[in-house]
Amino acid sequence: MEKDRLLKRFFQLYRRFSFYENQVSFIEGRNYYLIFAFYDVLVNIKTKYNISAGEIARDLTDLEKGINIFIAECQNKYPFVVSYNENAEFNEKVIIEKFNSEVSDYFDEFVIAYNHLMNYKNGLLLEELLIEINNFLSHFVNFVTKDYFSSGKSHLCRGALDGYKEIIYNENKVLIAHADLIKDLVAIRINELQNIGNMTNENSCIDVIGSYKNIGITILQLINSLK
Amino acid sequence: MKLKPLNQESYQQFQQLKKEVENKFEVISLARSAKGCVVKSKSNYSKQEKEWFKKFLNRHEDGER
Repeated sequence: MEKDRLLKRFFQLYRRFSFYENQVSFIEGRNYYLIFAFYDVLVNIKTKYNISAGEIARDLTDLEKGINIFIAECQNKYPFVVSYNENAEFNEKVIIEKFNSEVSDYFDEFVIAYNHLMNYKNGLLLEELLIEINNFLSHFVNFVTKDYFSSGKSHLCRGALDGYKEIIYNENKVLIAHADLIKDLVAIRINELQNIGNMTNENSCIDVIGSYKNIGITILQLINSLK
Repeated sequence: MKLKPLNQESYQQFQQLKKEVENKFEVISLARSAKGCVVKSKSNYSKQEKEWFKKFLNRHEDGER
């Protein structure tokens, strides 16, 4: 597959998967295997797009196999399932431009947060963060094909924040033992409260994530130092 | 046209963590799910789906493709 069709293919696959997954999810539950697989492939695309098109093309083929298994099972089990016959127009250049300009920095922060939480929880499938990446992809597909207003970056922001807040909530005993950390957290919390609804401001979301990240990483370091 | 690459350190860490936790397929719900607005996880993955997912996670290992 030529390099200039990789992201186009990725979003075509996502559109198809999402069409079926949304029809059955209230009965079946969310398909975290495939949502994680989309996330995994997107991380690979973001890292290797410019250097290893062959590897990404093989990722997409592997991903498609999983989607086909899922869709075949949906169609076998549920007679109400409507078949996908959309032919959405994706333009690779537009996707790259919009990804770079609108969501790239947010996606990077999301990956870092996911890594920290994956390590902390010792698990792969982090429900709330995967829901946020799924929501982001749903928004972004419409953003690049229909020029809808929202790129979905607020979902990446929300996911990254949730990752760090989960660590902080779980380890609040560490907070209580460190007055300076609590003081910092209160200041961050007030700043976040005052900026709610202002996440379209380019820097505010990244700044808030950065603040929670600092607290989260400090807590993890304190825990590790006690081991 | 170039896609802005992900930081290599983040990528390596993601790959490493995947290897370490790849057998832990249960869905981990975080505190926020307590509000109950998230649709539950699919629990009835078929044998074919499970096999595909395991293979998918190992897809970059030698000889897996």
